[in-house]
Formats: sequence, C-alpha cells, structure tokens
Amino acid sequence: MTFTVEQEREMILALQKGDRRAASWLYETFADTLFRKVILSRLPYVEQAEDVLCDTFRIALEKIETYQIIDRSIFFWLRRIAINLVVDTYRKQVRKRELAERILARDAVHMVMGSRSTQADDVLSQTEEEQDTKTMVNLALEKLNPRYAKALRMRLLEDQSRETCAESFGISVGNFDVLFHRASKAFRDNYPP
Amino acid sequence: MTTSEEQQAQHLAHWIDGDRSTLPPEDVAVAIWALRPDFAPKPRVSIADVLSVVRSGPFSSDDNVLYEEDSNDDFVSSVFAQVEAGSRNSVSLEDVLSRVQRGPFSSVEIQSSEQDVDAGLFHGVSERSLGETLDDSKHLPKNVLQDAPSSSVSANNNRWWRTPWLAGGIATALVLFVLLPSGFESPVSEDSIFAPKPQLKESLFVEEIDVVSQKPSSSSKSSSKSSSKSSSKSNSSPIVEAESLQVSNEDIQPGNEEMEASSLLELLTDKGVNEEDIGLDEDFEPVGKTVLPQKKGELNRSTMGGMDSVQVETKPASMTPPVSRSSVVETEVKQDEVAEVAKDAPTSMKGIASEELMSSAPSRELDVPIEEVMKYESVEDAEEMEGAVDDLDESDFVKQELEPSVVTVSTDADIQTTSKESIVSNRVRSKRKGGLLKGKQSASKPLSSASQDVGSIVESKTFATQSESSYQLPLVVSVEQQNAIQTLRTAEEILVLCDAARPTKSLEILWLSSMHLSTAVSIEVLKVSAEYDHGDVRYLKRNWLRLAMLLRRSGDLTLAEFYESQAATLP
Repeated sequence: MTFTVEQEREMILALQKGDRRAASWLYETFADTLFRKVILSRLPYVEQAEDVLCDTFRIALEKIETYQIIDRSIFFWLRRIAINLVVDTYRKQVRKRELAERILARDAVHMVMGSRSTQADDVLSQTEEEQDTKTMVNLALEKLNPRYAKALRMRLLEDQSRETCAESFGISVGNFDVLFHRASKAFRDNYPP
Repeated sequence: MTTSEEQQAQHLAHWIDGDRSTLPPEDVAVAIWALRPDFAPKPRVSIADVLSVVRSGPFSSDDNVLYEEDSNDDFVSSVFAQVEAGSRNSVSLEDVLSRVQRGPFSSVEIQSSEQDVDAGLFHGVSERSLGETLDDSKHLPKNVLQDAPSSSVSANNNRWWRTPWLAGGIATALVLFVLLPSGFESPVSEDSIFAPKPQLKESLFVEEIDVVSQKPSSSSKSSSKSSSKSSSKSNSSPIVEAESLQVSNEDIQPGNEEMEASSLLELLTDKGVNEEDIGLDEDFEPVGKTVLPQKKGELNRSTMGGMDSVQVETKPASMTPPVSRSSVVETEVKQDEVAEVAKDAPTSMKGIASEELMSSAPSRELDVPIEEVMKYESVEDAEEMEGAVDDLDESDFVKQELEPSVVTVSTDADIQTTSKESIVSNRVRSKRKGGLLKGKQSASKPLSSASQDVGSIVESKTFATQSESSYQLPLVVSVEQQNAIQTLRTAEEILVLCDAARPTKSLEILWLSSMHLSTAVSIEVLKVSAEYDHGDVRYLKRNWLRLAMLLRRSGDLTLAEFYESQAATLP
C-alpha cells in the first residue's frame, strides 16, 4: 500500500472527527507491521503481543484528538505506544523488570538518534524496523553457543535447508534437527537481549 | 538425546519447512518469532475488537460514555462545580507567612524589620497585606510567641533540648552505660529462639582444637566456659563427650597450632597424662565404631555442642591411645602442659600452620597417613550418617559435599597421594542433612583459598554438583575404552576417538579424559564438547559444568561464567 504524507494527513483529520472508516484504514495499514516488527520482536509471545496490539490501537483511538500532525508518519506514534505497552507487560513480571528497562533504554537511544524515515512508505518497506530487530537478534545470538548461533542463522535468517545445514555441521539431518531445537530453546533465554 | 526431543526437533523442522497447521511450542517459538516474524500468525485482533474497548475520544460508543464535558445534566454540573470550588486554592501569601516560624520571614522578624519596610525595601507589597500579616501573628501558636525573645532572632525557636524524646534517650543511654560493662544478660530459656545457638567460629583450624580440662582452676576463662557447656552436654549425650577432644585455642603455643588431635593425644599420653587423668574408662571401645567408616582420605568437620570439635577416628594399631565411646575425653590441660606437649611435637608437624596452608604453602609431608588423619565430624553427624549409610549401597553416590576443610588438615603431599577418584567417591550423607551441610559450608568459607591451592584435587561445590550428575548418567563408554582413554595424554589423541555421528559417546570420552589430564589440556578438550552438542543434553551439560569449573580454577572467570550460562540453558 502506497500513500503520501498528504493522504496520511487527511486520514488523521478524519480520525480526529471520529470517522470509523479511517480507523479501519489505520488499523489495516499499520497493524500487521506493528505486530510483527515492533511488538512480536520485543515480546515474542503471541497472545501477549495481541493484547499489546489491541491496547495500542485503543489508546491511539482514544487519544487521537491530542495527536499533532507533523511531518512524520503516525506509525512512529503508534510504535511509541506499543513499545511502552511492551515495557509495561514486562514490568508486571518481577523477573523481567530488568528486561523492561533494557527495552526502554534501547528505544530511548533510537529516539534520540532519530529515525531517517519520515513517511509511512519507508516504515512499511520495513527496512528500518527490520534493522532494529536484527540488532537485537544479533545481540542475542552473540550470547549463544557459536554452533547454536550458526544453526539459527543458517536455518532462519539465511533460510537454508536442513540438509545443507547438516552437511555444513558434518552431522546427520536428524542430529541437526536436535541441534536446531536446542538452539531455539537457548535463544529464548537470551532474548530480548 | 531422548526420543521425545528428537520428535519435537523433527516437528519443528517440518513446521519451518511449511507444515504450519499448529503453532510451534512456546519454548522454541520465541526464536522463530524474533528471527522470522513473517512466520508468525496474523494477529487475531480485528478493528472491531479495538473499537469495542475504546472508552473515550471520538470513537467511544454512546454505551461506553462515562462522562462528557458538554453534558447538560444539571446535577452533574453542580457536583463538578462544587468540586471545582472546593479545590480552588484558598491559601494566600499571608497565610503562609503567618505560619513561618523561622528564618527571615518569621513573624517576629517581620516585626523587627518594620523599619526596612518603611525604607521601601518591599516595593510592590501593600502596607495592608503586611499589616494583616503582622496582625496575624496574634493567631500564631502560643509557644512561638512565647519562645521568641523580644530582641528577635528566630533561631531560638529551635529548642530541641526541650523535646520529650531526648529525656527518654538519655535514660536509655544511662541504663545501657551501667548494664553493658557488667555483662548483664537477661535470662533466656533454652526453648527461646533467642537462646544462644552453637556456632562455628569463623575460622576453624586445627589450632582451635579445644582440650577441656576437668581441672576447673587450671583453665582459662574461655576454656572453663566451654568446659561447662560440654559438661552440660555430656549429661544428655555421652557419645558427644566421648568423641570430643578439645584444646583451647588460647592454650596452644604459636608455631604448634597445626598439631593434629591424634598426635596430641599420643603426646599427652607420652607426657604422663594417663587414662585416669583424661578420664578414660575401662570399657572403652574405638571411636571408629561410632564414626561411619569412610573412604581413604575422607575428612570431615562440624560443630558440636556449640564448640568446634575434632573427632578422632581411631584405627587399631595406628592411633594410640584409642578413645572409647564411653570414656569421655574431656581433659582440661593447663597452658604450660600444652606448651610442653607442643614443644615435643614431631618436627614434621611443626610449622605447618594453617595460615601457611591458606597462603599456598609448599608441600609438606605428614607422618600420619591420610587414613589416619583426623576427621572433623560431630557425633550428631556420625549418628545421622550411620542411619544414612544403611540406605546406601556402594554404587549409590549422593551429592558430594567436599569441604575445603579437607585441605586444612592435610598437606599437599597427602592430597597428592589421594586419588581423585577417592575424593569423588566420597559417600556423604543424604540430602536430609541439607541444613547441617549448609552450616558446614558457611563455616568452611574462610578456608576456600586453601582449597584453591590444592585445586587439582579438591573440587569446589560446582564440581560436587557436576560429579553428582556424572554418577547419575549411565556410562556410554566401555571399561576397556575407559582404560584406553586413561592412557592418552594429549588432546589430539583424545579427539581422534570422538565421532560426530556418536555425539553422546564423544561427550563422555571428553569428560572422562578431562578427569586425568592437566587442567589446561582438560579445558582444551572439554571445549570441543561444543562440536557434539547434538548429543545427549545431560552429558553436554556435565561437560560444560566441568569446563566452567576448570576455567574458574584457572582464573578465567568470564569464560567460566559463559559456560555456566551455557549449562544453565540446558535442561
């Protein structure tokens, strides 16, 4: 979906007037990107991520009148809300409060450094948000056993087949499956970094 | 590698390859959602769901409206009007100033600074407001006006010495001043939780062997205290007395602190302290019977009756005089007697102060073989162990609690003669002794540095955990192969035996080889475990733990923590 800043501005004005079609348009445009790239990458638990997504749009629609149209996409506003909600989710869990602080701190850096993209098109092309996720993934992979990291990279990031991966490791496909399974489990304990 | 794990791994592999009828398990899904969010299912939230929960703003439905600003409801308007009126700030500057009791704005000062006001320093402040302020001083608390001297200066308002808590504090201090020097102790019943509990001294060394005399006048204050304690104990548990040989710490002369209780006992006998003197009965029997038979080189230590006690395991023909179960060895030796005895101690025992052991002393040889080295063991421990050992067969290895105290009572040379296996195979009490063991651990803390000195043999707690897991794992390698592994000395030779197609066996080989290789080579070998991480996870974890322990010993803490974390991620 391609649209310009002017089109987005019109959409926001309609939202501020309570236009439900505009609300539907906003959701359909940004929900998936927000869910996969922003929420799920920081809170990789589907049910919790869905709750955060719902709350993000609820808050956005409740406060849309306070939103000031600037020369940047509304996506960044939604993203801000979503990350705050992710942090809140972690804060509710005693063991993950530190993680919440890390996410918040990392995002603060992201805010200070600023995002190069301003338009919704940039956002939806996913390059920037993907880069952010990749940084987090790489940080987590660095903490893993190098072979685990290699297995995850080959299989998920490079999209290589089991056979290729097994050959690379010099083990059977079955053994590689086990290795990959263990790598996935180990990753959970280190992510988000 | 278990069957269920293989099945889960296979299921995950098929899921990634496209068979996504069901969601992957949560423990592996995190990696997939994070690395491949496009694999994640679409959110099950629709815009209708979102709108249904919107409570305010332009999208709030009429049903959900709780309050609207343009409400025409008179009742609601009036309620909010009242709230607004009530919350309006009604505090004026005069109110504030009237309450100021100190500082330049205190009412007294304002009185005294009328001239300044006249001089026009406060332009913009109306005379009326200041006049009101001064009048308001009538409403000030009485004590403020009374305390304020006519000559002004508000600092005197702070009369802290008149406060009632000060008197209470002084009274308490006086009481403490009188009672503390007199050593006053309020009576505490034995049942009370505040009753004094037996505790190990912070550093329990050999020099702290207490010999409690039965001669009341000859002992020092501390030894008489411990004597009375032990005698009270003796009423309840004669075994406790029988196995306690205590030498007051103060009674030991410098330089002879390391004397072992067994030798001391011998020497006492040599010096003419006969059985009557030390209270030996005719019907004695070796303590060895009461103490659980333990393996070569096994040493234990614990607290007994609030005193650090040494338990001597008597072996026929090797330890004289035998200490009987019933005969209570509670000999209080005069300081000069102990000094004399210590003077005559064998040279091999001199100068092996525990301090030296702590600071990596060079190897010294003890005449006493490791089997005969005293055991630090309370009788309570022994009794409990007696019960526990019945439940254990030879192959039943339970959690190892190898305490650094082993180091303090033996020398490097002794330890070197003790095979690692003998330490590993120490059978110790079952987990129901956890509380006591915990106490032992805390007591042995000061000795940890000594354990590092002889680290090649004495294992840390980590090793204990690791060794525990090792014995619970079935052996994959045959006895012949094990023997073959023991002959190998280089990492290359060992790695030849490993095979990626048999990862679990390879892990076992690496682990076994690390048991007899030097630390550096063991580390090198164990690191190769990473290449067999598709093997049985338990074997892998064991290798990581051992590697971490070896790294920690060699001082590479960062890497040790890394491998510990690797082990922690494994089930």
